Amino acid sequence: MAVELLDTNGLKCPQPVLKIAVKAADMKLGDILEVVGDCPTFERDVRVWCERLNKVLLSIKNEGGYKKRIQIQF
Amino acid sequence: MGKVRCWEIFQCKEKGCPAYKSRNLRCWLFSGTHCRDEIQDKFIDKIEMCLDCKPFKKNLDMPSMKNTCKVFNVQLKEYKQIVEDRDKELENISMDLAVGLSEVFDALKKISSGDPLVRIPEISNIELIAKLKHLVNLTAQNIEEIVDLSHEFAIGLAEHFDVLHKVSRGDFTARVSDSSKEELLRALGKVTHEMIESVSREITDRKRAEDRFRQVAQSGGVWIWEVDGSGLYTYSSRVVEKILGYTREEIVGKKHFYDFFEPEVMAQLKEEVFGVFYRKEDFKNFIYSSIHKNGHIVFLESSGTPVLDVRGNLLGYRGVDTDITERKLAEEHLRKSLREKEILLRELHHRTKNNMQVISSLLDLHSINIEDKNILNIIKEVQHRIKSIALVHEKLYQAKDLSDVNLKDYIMDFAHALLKSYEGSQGKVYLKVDVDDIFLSLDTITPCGMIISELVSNSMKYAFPDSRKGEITIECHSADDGGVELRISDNGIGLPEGIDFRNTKSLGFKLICKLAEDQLRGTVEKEGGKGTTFLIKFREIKKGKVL
Repeated sequence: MAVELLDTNGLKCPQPVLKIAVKAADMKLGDILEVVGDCPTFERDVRVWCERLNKVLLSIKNEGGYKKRIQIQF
Repeated sequence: MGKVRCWEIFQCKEKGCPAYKSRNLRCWLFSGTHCRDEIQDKFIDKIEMCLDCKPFKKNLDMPSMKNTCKVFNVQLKEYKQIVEDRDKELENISMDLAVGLSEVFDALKKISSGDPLVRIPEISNIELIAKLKHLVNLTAQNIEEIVDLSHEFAIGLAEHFDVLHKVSRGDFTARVSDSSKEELLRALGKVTHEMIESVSREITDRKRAEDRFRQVAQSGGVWIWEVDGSGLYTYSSRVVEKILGYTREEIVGKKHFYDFFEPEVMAQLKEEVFGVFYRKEDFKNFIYSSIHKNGHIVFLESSGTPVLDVRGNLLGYRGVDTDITERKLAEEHLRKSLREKEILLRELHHRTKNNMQVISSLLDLHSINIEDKNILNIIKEVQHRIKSIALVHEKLYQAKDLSDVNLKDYIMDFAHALLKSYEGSQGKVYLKVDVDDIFLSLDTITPCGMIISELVSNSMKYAFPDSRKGEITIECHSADDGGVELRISDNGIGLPEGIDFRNTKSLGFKLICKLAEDQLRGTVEKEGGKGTTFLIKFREIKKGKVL
């Protein structure tokens, strides 16, 4: 089970979600993707993406301002 | 120094001016004077003009100066108050402006950072700021809608991406959720699903076909191959080892199809096959012989189809070869066996005919010592019957095809020989033969010949008494229903009145009925008119079956 990091700081919606979608193709079942982003709608976007694609949203950590760190399990 | 009147020194006729002809000569203290063709305001407003004006200079004395100073002070205070009020007002406006602009800037900053949810109160004392805030909120609202839309599309795209990724890994159960509120995404989902189902069907069909192909390629004796444009093998199934003795590895990329041809025919066959290549034609069931690795000849039946690129250029050929060596050998054996059987059958017919002739000759020998005419006639009839059968065998062994005899040839030979056998018939009885080219088997022509023999013999014996002249006609034609109609007639005296040919003691008529109805399974009838005419209808019989 691998943990991959994806930095989307500075990217605005919907770019973070598209980056996650591209990265998801390389993820295996059980792998964890940790995504960092500072787009104001970042959390909402990732939540919807996980819901639609049946991925597990493990955690959301506020890092000040809009910046958040989200863990997704595949 | 004398005081002056302003209307006099300026020769003014402005009767509406409050200073005109006034007793109070302090004209500068009047508000609304008509000096210099304009209506003037208060003293403080026109002081610069008045200080240079002659009536002011001439009429200003101490009391009037005092009064003037007092008026000036009052008016100055009024102005000061106005200025203070305006200052306060400006200060408030500046504050509202600064606060309002700060709110606008802050909102715009949030929007630009990607937060379209920001909204600001649209209240301000400054109408312009209130309008600006309203525009900022409208912009944020529009951007929010755009962001929502792009977000929806991005999620939809991500979902499609995920599904296509699963499909590419062979999971054809992956589907896009149809929960999107965007029509375009729902339509895209529908197209994606149709595409997945179509690809899934295609792959299932192809897999089945491949399985079938593999089973055929592995189980049967079918050699599947591919060659390039030069005839070099680019693919070969393993069956080739069974057929030609070479392994697939010894052939692919190393041998050309013509390398296995027999040296004597190689050049010709090569030219023939490359002709097909040039024309890019399919070929089917092309039979050729090849040399096995161990040197023996292998017969192959080949079918192939050209492989073309998108522009129609020939890339090579793909096809199958079947080992038909055993079949070829069996066919050869069969042909040889058939030839032997033909020779034997011909010999059999020949010997049968000879034996019949021997019987006929024996009857001839016996008849030398017989004087009774009745017995001699019986012997003759028997000889005719033997002759009719013997001729069938003769015709059969002479025929190319041992199974059928041309009825026309048979009748021409037999009927004339029959006629000749009756002494004194020459020049009196003529034979007319009108027969189609009808080919009949042994089973049909033997009874047919005997019927002809009986009826022609009857005519010869009874139709032309007292050396009468006459004619015997034999007609035989194919009927419309596929049967055969044989008509034998004479123009003689006819059968005696009241004779029913079916119920006579005559062996001849009994034989005719028996042969026509039992053996040929046909009909026999006597037709009316002059002379005697019999019509026999029958069908070809092969191996006991009426066709």
